[in-house]
Amino acid sequence: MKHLVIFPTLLKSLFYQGNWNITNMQGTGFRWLVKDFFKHNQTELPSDFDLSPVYYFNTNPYLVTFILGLLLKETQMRGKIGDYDKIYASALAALGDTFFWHALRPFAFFISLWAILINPVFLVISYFVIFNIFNVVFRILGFYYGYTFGVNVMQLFNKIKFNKWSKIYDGITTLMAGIVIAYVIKYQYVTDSIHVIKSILLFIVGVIISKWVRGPLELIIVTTILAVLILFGV
Amino acid sequence: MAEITIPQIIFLFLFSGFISVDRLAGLNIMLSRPIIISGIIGFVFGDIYSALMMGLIFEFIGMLEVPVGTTITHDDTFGGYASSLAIIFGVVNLDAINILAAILITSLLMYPVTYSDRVFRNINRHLVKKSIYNNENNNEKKLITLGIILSFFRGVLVYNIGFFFLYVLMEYFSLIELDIANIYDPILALTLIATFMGGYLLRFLIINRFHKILLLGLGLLIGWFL
Repeated sequence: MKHLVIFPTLLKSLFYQGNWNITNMQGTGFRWLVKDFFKHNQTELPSDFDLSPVYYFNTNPYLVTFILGLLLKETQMRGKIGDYDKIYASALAALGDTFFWHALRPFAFFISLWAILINPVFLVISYFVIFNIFNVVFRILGFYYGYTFGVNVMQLFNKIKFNKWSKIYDGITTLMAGIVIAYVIKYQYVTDSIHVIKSILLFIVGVIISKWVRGPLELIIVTTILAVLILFGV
Repeated sequence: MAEITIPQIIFLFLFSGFISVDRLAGLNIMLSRPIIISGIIGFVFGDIYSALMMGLIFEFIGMLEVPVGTTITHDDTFGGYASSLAIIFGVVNLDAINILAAILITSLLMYPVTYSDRVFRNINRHLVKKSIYNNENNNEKKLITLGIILSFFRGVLVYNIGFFFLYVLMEYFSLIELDIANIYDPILALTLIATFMGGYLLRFLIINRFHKILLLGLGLLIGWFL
């Protein structure tokens, strides 16, 4: 694997969303990263790279370094980048958002939840560590694999079947959710068996209303109404 | 609760700014998740179980939203911060009705707090437009630094003002005498809500229905005999 200077850009990649806005999204930050990464790797900026303040860019922050790697490779090989920044930004945004935001957060949560039985501090540490292992590994390897695979970087994601990761992690989350729910119901059974019936009914209501109730406010209102009903002994 | 010390107040101001940066402008290392916030606040103030109780609820609520593209999701960071502080500061009694009231008030306050996210994005947009107007091409570092500072102060200001409102409203609420207040102990009330939310969460998981039922059933069996 080629030696690349990544550390300064890696640190900056943690802050490149500082100017996030609805006009050019992460464009300002990404321009900053490209300039920095190219400078540290002794490469001139490509002639066709848009340096204007309106430069538009948006991707998943955990996968941004793959694009930096591939742009460096393209520039060193051809002296230009074409539309590769835009193309890969969209593709990696779709992959990254589905995995990091949708699947990894509930996964880290349900895996860590058990730590509360030992020590609640472990719950916090476990959630933090599980999520950030993926964060750090993808950010660091992104530079190298982006550079190694260049415009074929999607082959890497296909090779590791990254688009299936979300489903696998969601599967594990479902299993863990089942374990937690059964454990909670069992706790209620020990307290008073009537709570078990209420709990099962609430679980079914939760599954059914999830089809219609979408936003957090609706969920909060429905939850509160249900909780108040329970409090009145319904 | 014990008396709040000056270092703890300084910690809260710095922490509220820091979690706002993690949410909006940088890091993205999940320090802004309600479960982490409530855990840290509970640890610093010496009552981690109570703080986590609130953090768990807001983690559930926040988990259901995914920040894709231009979507500005509801500020669950504030939810975790304000509700766990309210319980630590002793304005939320540990009974089911008080906890539910705190959840509802915090959730409603999340809306104006989320609006401040939008304002933050608009200020960033204004800064970019100003750069276009002045034809400045090499000011990325300046714009990003401004954004980070802005999001830090937004956190300090908005999260603590939001918490102040929650504090005042909960103080009024605790004056209302309710006979039903102690029907359920808080843990039991929370477990009932958690089972309901568990059912709700399942829709958001993207595996096919057959596998979902199979895995859930398996999980329920394991959980029961654990």
